[in-house]
Amino acid sequence: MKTAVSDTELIRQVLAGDENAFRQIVERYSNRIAAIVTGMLGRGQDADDVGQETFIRLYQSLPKIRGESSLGTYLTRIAINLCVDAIRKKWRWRYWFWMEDSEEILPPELTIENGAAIESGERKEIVHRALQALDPKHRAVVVLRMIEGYSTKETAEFLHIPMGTVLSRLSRAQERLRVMLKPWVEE
Amino acid sequence: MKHEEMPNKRLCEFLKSNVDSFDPYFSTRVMARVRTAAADQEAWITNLWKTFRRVAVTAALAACILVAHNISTQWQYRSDSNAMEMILGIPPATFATTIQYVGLWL
Repeated sequence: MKTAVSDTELIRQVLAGDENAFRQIVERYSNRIAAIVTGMLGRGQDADDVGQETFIRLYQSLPKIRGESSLGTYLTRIAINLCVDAIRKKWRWRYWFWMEDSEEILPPELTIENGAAIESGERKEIVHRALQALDPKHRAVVVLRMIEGYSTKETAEFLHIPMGTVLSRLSRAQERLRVMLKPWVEE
Repeated sequence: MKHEEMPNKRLCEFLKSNVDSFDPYFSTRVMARVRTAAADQEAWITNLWKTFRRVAVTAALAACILVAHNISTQWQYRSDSNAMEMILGIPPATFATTIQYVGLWL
């Protein structure tokens, strides 16, 4: 039976010039980073670009990694920072180039009809639209706390906000999500 | 210790099981960008080195010309002064020249 190579060993191999070891790191963490990035930015080219940039930043900083935190935590930190930057840029752009069609600025509303049996693709679409309907600040807390399963303290550290703010944002976001996803998530 | 609010379990499960993933061949795209980034960095270092070499050679040539000029113009009437002073074109440090320079600045 083949045992999984540890992150530390993979990093050592990458630093020794093994490109394939880095591919393994990407494949190991791509789903986790995808959950964060698509949760924060939605689907599309932006999310893919930020996902790629996350791994490029990791590759460039590999020689400096000292193993104080796990590779997953390190990648999460890079991804969150890049997502926050991307959201800021997007909003700045919209502010300066305000279009008359203000509907584009508003988050997409959830207008899917309540159906008992829905396909996996549809469920993904529902989750995607529900997350996009949240304020980016609330969305970040939801992604880290509810999807990634980080503690309140860790979430607060990632986002550089007090724990009380995490709790209040989480409470508000959950309230909205409960309303939007009620037909699919029974209490 | 602050109260740790536990997120709604069912809501978490629903979100977790329905988050998106990247499009296929994501790792291939990342590896292609890694290679491009490495090549770009290499090209940048090469260009920096080439520019430095050009500037360094030009500066060395200019210094040689200045030294040659100083030696050729001051050889006859400064045979008594220090060789380094002559090469660098520095006037002899005497009381009279010091007074002269201080007077110029004032």
